[in-house]
Amino acid sequence: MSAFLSIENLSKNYGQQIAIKNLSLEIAENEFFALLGPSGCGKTTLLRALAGLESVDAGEIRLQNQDLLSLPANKRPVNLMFQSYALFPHLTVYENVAYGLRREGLPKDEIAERTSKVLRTVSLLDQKNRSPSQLSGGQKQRVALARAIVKRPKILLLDEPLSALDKKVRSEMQLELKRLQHEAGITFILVTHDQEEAMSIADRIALMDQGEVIQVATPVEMYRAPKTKFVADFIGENNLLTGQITTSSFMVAGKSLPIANTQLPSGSNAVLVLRPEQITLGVSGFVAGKLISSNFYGGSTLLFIDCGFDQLIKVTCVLDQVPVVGTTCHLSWNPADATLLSDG
Amino acid sequence: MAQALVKTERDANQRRALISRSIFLIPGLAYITIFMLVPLGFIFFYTFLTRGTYGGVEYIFTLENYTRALDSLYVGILMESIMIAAAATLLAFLIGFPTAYAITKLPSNWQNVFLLLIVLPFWTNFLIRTYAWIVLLNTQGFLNKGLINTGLINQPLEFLYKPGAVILGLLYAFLPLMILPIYSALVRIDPAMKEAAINLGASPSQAFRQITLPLALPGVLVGAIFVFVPSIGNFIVPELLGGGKTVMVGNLIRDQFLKARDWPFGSVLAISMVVMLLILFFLQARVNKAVLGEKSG
Amino acid sequence: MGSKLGWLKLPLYGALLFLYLPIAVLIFMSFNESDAPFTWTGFSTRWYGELISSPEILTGFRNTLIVAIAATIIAVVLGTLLAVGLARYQRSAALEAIALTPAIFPDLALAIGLLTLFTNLNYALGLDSVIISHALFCAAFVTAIVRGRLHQIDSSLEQAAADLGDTAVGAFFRITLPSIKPALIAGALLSFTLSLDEFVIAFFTNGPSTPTLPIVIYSMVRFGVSPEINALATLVLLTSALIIIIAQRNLKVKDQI
Repeated sequence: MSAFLSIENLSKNYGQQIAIKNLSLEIAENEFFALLGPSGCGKTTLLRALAGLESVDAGEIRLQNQDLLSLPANKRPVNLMFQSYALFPHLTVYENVAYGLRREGLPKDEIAERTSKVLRTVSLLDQKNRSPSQLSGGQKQRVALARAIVKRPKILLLDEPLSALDKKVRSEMQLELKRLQHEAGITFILVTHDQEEAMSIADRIALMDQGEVIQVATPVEMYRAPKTKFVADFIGENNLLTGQITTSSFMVAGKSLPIANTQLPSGSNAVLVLRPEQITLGVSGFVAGKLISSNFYGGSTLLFIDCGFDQLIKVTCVLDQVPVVGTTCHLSWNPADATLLSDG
Repeated sequence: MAQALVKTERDANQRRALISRSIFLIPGLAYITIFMLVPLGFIFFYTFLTRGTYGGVEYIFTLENYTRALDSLYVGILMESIMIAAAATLLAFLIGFPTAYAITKLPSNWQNVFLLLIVLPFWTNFLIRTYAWIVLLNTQGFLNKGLINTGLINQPLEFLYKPGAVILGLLYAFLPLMILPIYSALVRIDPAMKEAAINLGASPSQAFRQITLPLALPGVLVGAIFVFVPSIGNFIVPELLGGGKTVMVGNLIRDQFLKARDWPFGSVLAISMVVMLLILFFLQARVNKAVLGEKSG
Repeated sequence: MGSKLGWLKLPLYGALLFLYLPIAVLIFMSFNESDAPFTWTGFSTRWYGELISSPEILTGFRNTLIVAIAATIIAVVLGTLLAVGLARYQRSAALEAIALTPAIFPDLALAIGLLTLFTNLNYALGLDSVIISHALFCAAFVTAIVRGRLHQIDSSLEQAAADLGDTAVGAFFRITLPSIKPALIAGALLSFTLSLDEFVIAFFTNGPSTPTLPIVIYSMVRFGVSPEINALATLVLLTSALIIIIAQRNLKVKDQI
């Protein structure tokens, strides 16, 4: 039994520029999947290739064992919610949502019923005769969503769906998206450059860089066990210390830090990955440094400590324990928590 | 005391702002008022006056100029003008839309080159461009020679001095004015619109008809106004290519002012042309708002 | 290029052929040796020589040059001030529409309006009345171009200047003017060609003794085709085209900044 959606050895170049490089990926049914990465990593190209809006140079895409690439874009059971929403400005909200059903040539009653139902789901039934220009950003986004899911696609693609919304509406829409995905029972593939968004919303994440998938994992796995330095750097706040492994410790800028067992050979260059919340302050520690600055984030405070490395060390601290700026802090952590990655 | 000082300071600031605003705005707006708005007022005023014996007007109020405009002779000329201008507009659309659409498909640096090539003739001498058609279409002209040489015809054909030649000349003169607004309407359409239509199951031709075409409609209408209005008011093309046999509103207005010396009647004709322009622009704005849901365009 | 066009090549190249064929034939015939207007007998530049010896054409040329230069100067000053005023001091869609109206208004309506005005003022028609009239619509084009340029540049530059103690007029000369220079050049060149080629308004607002070049051309073309007109027409067409291309280059520079 093969996966619901399987992408095999997909490649796409724009002239000299590589957009997707021999990419393979499997996505399960009803999964909320996120394609995450910096701009230009190929995630949007991959999304557009799935929708058929972009041709590919090589590789295969199979949806339930059916060759997706041989289907023209307008016949694929895949709908896309555009980043700009792409609502048709000359049609009403209702006509926008009904547009796709009308193209299927469904009976009028069914179109009316399904359109009204989905508009009710996104609470826009009262606005159905409005023009898109009369809607707020959040409402436009919900119309775009309704327009895509009313077609009951096998896969719903979302291109940076929340990037145009302000922060408060954003978190509401995140919940909304999750609820809808649950209710509709549709596989969602979301493209985003925002790691927090991907972490909070997706079942699994594929982190992409330069046309390749670097790691596929659940948000928790990806946070806890980043496979490469790129992943560690991209996902969440992190301290990345570049140094060399010795027989029993890790040498960074002339300082020796303790490490747990590692498969990496002694003498090799490596990166020590330390999450700010893994570090504790105490009367003594593995390293010490002066507190340079503290940034208050409400629930927690992020301290920046100069330990003589090429970067300031970030440490999470609860509010009532924040030392005065200029104090010398002693940093320690459980060596088993820290991850060592090869730096090649 | 201190407050009073602040107040005079603030007044002085406001005065300075007013002065600088006046320096920038007044010369231009005054110029337009004196040399366009006031003269238009004159013309409107003239429509109610009686013609003078040697041109000019006599200040005797009358509505006769308006009733005269409804004379079947002038209504006939107006209808013919409208038909000719409409034919030129329709042809300009049929040629201009695919041309503009083709330009949008080019790489962006080539788009500028082709747009320049399209507008370049428009910025050159109108008389000369019209005259060039005489060179081409005359009975002994290039086209006839070519047709005779290829054996398609034995006798030279008379292309000129027919309504068709006037339509051709107007089309030639104003085609760029159709292409430009359509082009700018087309390039402003988010490419995601068409992709969204296709993604929702529309075939490419459905997406074109249902999405691209309606969204380009405001541009098409601007182009249509830009071709239609100057065509109606043109008197050079009918004179040079129509041989004076086709009289259009433009010729009529010219003759009332420079030959017949009936300024009040000429004013009625000119004002009707201006009113037609205003109505067309009003309609365009309505369509623009309906299509794009916004006022500007 | 063009590979993606498919059948759209037909209208594109067809439209260009339509636009340029008559002009190409005209230019070709201007080098005809014979004075038979339609029969090619051989290459010659004699008709260009004849132009210089025609006093009518030379007078028309001189008059046109005077009108175009003077109208351009007035238009650039008025149009620039108005564009800056509209962009910085009085945002108003209605005023903007009025400012641009002379550019899109039927030339015949402008022409008879101006004729009426000058007659009522008992102002003797001559080159000065043509200059005044041409400056009207040329200024509208300058306003449009400069306004477009001002849209692109940051108004905070001037506000910064004002904040640093500069007067509005001072900020205009030190900050705004240099940044809209390409638009000014393009607007001036466009004004110059528009005036150079304008016939209808000049025809109505000119006196009988000072014909501009288009009026001379008009009186010639009414009597049919002649090789002399072909030569004159070629020169006029190429001059306008050249100026427009230079103007366009200035607008391109604008796009790149």
